[in-house]
Parts: sequence; C-alpha cells; structure tokens
Amino acid sequence: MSAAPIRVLLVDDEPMIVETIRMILDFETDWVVDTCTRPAEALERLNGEPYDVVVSDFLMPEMDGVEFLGKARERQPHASRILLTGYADKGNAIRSINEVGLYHYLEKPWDNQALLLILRNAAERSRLLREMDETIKRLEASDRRLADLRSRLIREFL
Amino acid sequence: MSGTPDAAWIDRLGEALEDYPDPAHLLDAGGRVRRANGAARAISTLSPEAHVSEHGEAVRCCACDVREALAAGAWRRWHWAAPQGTRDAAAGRYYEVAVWPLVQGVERALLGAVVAWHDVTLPLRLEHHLFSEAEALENTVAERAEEAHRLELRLEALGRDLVALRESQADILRQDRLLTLGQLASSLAHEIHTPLGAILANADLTRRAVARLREPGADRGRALEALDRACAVMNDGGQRIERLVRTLRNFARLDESPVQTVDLHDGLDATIELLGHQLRDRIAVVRDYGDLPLVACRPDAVNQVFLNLLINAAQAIEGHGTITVRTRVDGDYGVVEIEDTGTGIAPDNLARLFEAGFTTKPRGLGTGLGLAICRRIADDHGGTMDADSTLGHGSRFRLRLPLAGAQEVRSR
Repeated sequence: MSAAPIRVLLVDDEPMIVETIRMILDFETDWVVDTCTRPAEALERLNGEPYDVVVSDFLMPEMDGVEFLGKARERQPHASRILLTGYADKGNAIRSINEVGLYHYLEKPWDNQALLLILRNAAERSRLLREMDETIKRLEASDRRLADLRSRLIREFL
Repeated sequence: MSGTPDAAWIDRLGEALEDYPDPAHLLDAGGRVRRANGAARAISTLSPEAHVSEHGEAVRCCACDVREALAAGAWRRWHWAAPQGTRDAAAGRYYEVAVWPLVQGVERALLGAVVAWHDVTLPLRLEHHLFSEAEALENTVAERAEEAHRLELRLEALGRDLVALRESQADILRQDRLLTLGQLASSLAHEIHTPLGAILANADLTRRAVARLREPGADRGRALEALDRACAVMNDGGQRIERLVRTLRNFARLDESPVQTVDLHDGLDATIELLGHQLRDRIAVVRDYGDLPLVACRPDAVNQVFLNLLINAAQAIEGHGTITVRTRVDGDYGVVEIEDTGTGIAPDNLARLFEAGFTTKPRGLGTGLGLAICRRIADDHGGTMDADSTLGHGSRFRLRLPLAGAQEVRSR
C-alpha cells in the first residue's frame, strides 16, 4: 500500500497557479500531480483513481471551490480537501470548513514551506484514513471467517 | 408824460390797461377802484376792495394788502386763492396779485395804484405736484435703499450657502469617483495578486533549487529543470503585471492631453480587462464590435462611463450571467451598448435613472451619481445616454457620441 505514490489533484482556473504548485511538488516530492483548470474536468478525474489530496481555488468561473470540494467529497471521501483563497474570500473559506469537511485552507500568496507542510500532513491523514479503512475491512473479514469457523465447528461437534 | 401827472393821465393809464390780458384794476389814492379792465370786469370775484374776515390758509384780505402797499408807497406782490363755490371763472383758482402804487415827485405824493391779477393756478399745481412727487420719490428711494441693503445681506448669505453647496457637491463627486476607483483598485489588486503570488512562490523555488545544487551528490537534473521552469513562470508573471499596469495607464490616460482621437474599443477592452476579477468568475463578456471610426473625445471621461456601466451591469447580475458590449455606427454617431442579463430595472426607477442622487444600491455601494455623471459626460461630448430594461431579464445602456464635430468637447 505505502509503495503506491501519493496522488494530488490541483484545480485553479489560473494555469500559472496550478503550474507553480506542480513545480514545487515535483521538485520536493515524488508524488503524482494532476492539474485541471476547470472544475468539471476535475470531477471527471475524481470518478477514476483515488487521490490523497484535492486542492481547489475558491473563485472559478463555472463552479466555486466550496461547491466543487463538496462534490469531490461525495466521490472520494478519504481524500483531504484544501481550499486556496484570496485574502478577500477568507471568510467564505472558514464558513465552508464544516460544510465540505475542509482539511485546511491556504491563503494566496502562499508560503511554499507552509504549502508543503499542509499537503504532506493532508496526504498522511488520507493514507491513515485509508489504512484504517483497510484494517477495519480486514478485521471484519477475519471476524466473518471466525464466525464461519465457529459455526462449522459447532455443526461438526453436534 | 412830462409835467405833473394828473387825473387825465390816470385816466389814460386806465384806458391803456383796458386790453391787458390779465385782470387789472386802477385805484385812487384812497384804495378805491376807479376802473376795472375788461378781463377784471369778467370775473366779479376779483376785487382789491374785498375784505375777508376769516384769514384762512388760501384766503387773504386784498384790501389790507393794498392799504399796506399804498401806505408804504412801494410795490407788493402776494398769492391769493379765490374761494371755492363762487359762480365765476375764478372759483378755486390761484392768483399772483401785484400792486404798484403811483407816486409823484420827490415828496412821493400818492396818486393811485394799479392792481394786476395773474392766474398761477397751473404752475402752482404743477409745483405742488412736483413737490409731492419728489417727496414720494424720496420715500421710495429710502425704501429701495433699505430693500437693497436687505437684498445685499440675503445675497451674502446665499453666497455663503452656495460655497457650502459647491463644497458638498465636490465632496459627493469625489466620493463617487473614489467608490468607482475603489472597485477598480480592488479588481486590479486581485488581478495582480495571481501573477505576484506565482512570482513569489517561484522565487522561493529558485532558492530551493540553488541550495540543492550546492549539496554534494544532489540530483542536478531535477534542480536545473525546476530553475528552468521557475524562470519561465516568473517571466510570464512579470509580463502579466506589466500588461496590467499598461492597461491601467491606458485607462487613466495619465500622461496625455485631455481631448484625443481614439478607438473606443481600446477603452472598452482596457476597462473589461481591469474589471477582469469582478467579471471573469461569474460573468461572460461578449464583445460584439462593429466597424467604428476613431472618435474625438476625452478618453478618461469616456472610460469612466464604460467603467460605471460595466460595474453596474456586473452588480445587476446575481450569480452567473452575460454582459454584451456592442458597438456600431448609427448615422453621425458612434454607439456603444452595454447589455446585461441582470435583474432589470422597474419602470418607475427607469424614469429616474439618470437623476443625481437616485440610487437603489445599498448605503456605501453607490452615491447615486454614477449615471448622472455618465449623462453629463455624454452631454459634454454633444452625445446622449439612455437606457431600457425589462424587469427580470436585464438592462441595456446606450452611449451615443458624435463622430464629427466632437472637437468642441466641453472641459469641466
């Protein structure tokens, strides 16, 4: 499981922004980084392989970041959601923390060190959630096997 | 008339007086009438012998005056008013009565006297009339002077009011301009924010890559690639900021003369670009530009109209919508239309749209002067400004500027 690379999806209508974040992640990490400039296109991608972190801009032409992240949550609940906001939209970002289960928000212009720290923590959280999910599934499976075994034992002894 | 005047001489004098046009009497030394001329005989009221017991204002005792003149042996003249109610022509008239005693020799022996009656009713009335007129005039002049003083005070007060009014009007105009510029500034700040953020992040990435290159055994290829890409993005970001600044300068025309011949499309493009942030995220801007010749105008003023109309259009749209910017030539006019798919304007409000001070915007968002200023700018250019709207479907604002003859743009 941990061998699979961490996957990040970046959404911002400004190509300059998604490109810059991708470059920083390319330089500092070995993650797989996908970028989209349209939320609709990003939702398509979320129907496919699982992502660990989804980063979205707040102000976008077709759909705002909060709405997009809400839809991302429905598709991939374990992926950590991060909202990128301009100074003026900070209030909206804070309100949406509960609304879409936001992991964090990042104010533009961001500090690369903070960006990396938040994204790393977000990825780790997502991995832990997924591992916990796997463990619970494994436990449930063993539980079912145990129950099965026990019922077979009882049948054989009776 | 040599020798001693005698009774015969007196009689000849009496005859000479006969045809004199004014009434005249010839008296003897005792003051008794010896002869009345023709004019005097026609008016019985005139009598030098008349005694009037009541010495009223206009009534005088002629006999008394005559007696005094004869006693003094010197001529005498007075005014006499004929009593009202007499049956002859003298009734109510004024006479200047003169008496000339006739004396003889060094001993000044009194022979008689001549009394002449000259009707001065007309000059007296005229004089009286002039006097009362003058008096009335004097009163009027005094009243006028007082009124003038009051007006002067009122004028002074009005002057002070006007200064205060002008100041507050200037304040409001300044406030409206600040509001518009504030919206522009916030939009511009947002526009600069993106490339600026990218430049800062890439500067940091550059630092990281250089630090990595200095490490022994570092992945040089990866660091160099990061440097390469960071430089490219920083360059793009810098150019974008440069373009914004140029657009802003183009919009404000800070360094150029007031009236110029310009392509209105440049002003529209610059304004749309500067408002990019307010428009791009939720509003599609459709540019339906026709063939428009260059127009002589004050570009800063015309761009202010574009800015006002575009901000209004954006504010009229709740959520997502479209603004269509259309240009065309209509006769001798260049027409710019800005149409939105916003909430529209109620018919009652439409009529008052261009009134100064009329606004439906919340406090702090509008001074109610934006459109009034737009119309004034259109007027100053010899153009017009109008609007139509359908409630619930959107509005269309139309600016018409004359293509020719705009040389005489009024400057404010």
